[in-house]
Amino acid sequence: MYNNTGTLAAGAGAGAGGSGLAMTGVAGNLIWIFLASFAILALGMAILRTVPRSQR
Amino acid sequence: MGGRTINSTAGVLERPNVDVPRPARRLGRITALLPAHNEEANLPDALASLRGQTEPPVDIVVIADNCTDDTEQVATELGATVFRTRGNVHKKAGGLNQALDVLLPQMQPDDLILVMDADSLLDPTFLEGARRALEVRPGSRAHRRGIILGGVGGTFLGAEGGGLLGTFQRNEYARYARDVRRLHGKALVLTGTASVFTVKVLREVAAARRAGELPDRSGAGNVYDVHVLTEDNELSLALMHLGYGILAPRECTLVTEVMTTWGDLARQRSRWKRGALENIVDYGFTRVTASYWGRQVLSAVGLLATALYVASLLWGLFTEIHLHPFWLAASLVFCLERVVTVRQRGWRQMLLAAPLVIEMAYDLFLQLVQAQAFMNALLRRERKW
Repeated sequence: MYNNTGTLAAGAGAGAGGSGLAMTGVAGNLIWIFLASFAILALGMAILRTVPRSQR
Repeated sequence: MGGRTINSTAGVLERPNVDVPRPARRLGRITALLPAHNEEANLPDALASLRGQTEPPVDIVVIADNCTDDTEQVATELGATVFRTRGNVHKKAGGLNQALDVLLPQMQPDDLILVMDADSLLDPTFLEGARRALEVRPGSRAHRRGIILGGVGGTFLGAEGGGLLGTFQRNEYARYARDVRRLHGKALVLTGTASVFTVKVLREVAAARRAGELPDRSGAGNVYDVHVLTEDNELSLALMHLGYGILAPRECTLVTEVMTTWGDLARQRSRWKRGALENIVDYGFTRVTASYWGRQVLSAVGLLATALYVASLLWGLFTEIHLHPFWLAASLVFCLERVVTVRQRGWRQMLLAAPLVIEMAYDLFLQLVQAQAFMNALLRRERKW
């Protein structure tokens, strides 16, 4: 538990995005890219945790 | 049941009269150690769970640490050996060290020691499963891979109580247990709630600390380093640095208490987080700690992403929010993941998980606590626990 990264909350609600970020220039775009990258990483981890797998 | 007392420089050991034949197996007898600070209410159930094992321990030692209630009396009445700590200011780890100082020299190298919390309940197959895992048999997976286990730990679920907060923790623990099962018992830590070690390995750990081969903040050369916040995590790292593997076998399950207030939960998680961080700092970047460092980095990046995401969402509330089909689809995957991973807890928990936002409140709380723990560790603020 101590090193469990836990739920990646940032990705969990990615369906809605504030349009303001895209309007704030280069910094905003960088932040959007960072958030989108992290959300995709979280998505990949979510898929891995969802697919059936043997348990022992 | 009657008892006897053994005096030592470290403490007082009161043994009941038990004479259990040594099992004719490769590993020796099992002794259970239960550190207890004012645990009179929890002890009966904990001891009953030990007596109810398919392979019960031959001796149960309750380490009564600075108790002001009837812990000792309850333990004695229930037939346990009572070890009373002396002058211990280092809580659980200090009490365990005092008891191990007395017990380890009396035991055989292949004897087994279970260390468990007094507020935990072991499932009946725990000790049998632990022994089976530790006895590396020809043809087993561990034997084929040449792995020697230094210890095996439990996978815990949350006890009842605590209202919605308790439910959140039970769901969290159930998901972690599911992850461990899907990784075939590969665990990050041998949990302090209940883990089993051989005497030989614990002696090796203490010797390695004395020889400077393992970190030892206390400089005392004991099994447990009393100056760390998460002594079980530190001991897990110690075992792995000595070349041993760790495992959480399927049979080794238990139930432990959940925090019933947000304040207690924050203190618990803050201690876990800071303890884990300080443990890997103590060990540095090694082959063993590399993955632990990676998790902490990912965790820190996750905290930043969460903060930015919440900020952007709040910003969007005052401006405009667009719904993107791709991210909507992604959200459905997240919904599915939350529901599937808690399926074993029943349809009520699946319904609770499905809307995402309910459990997200709990996750955001934990993330805030983690962020604070990161800051406290970075700024080396005084530790309070």
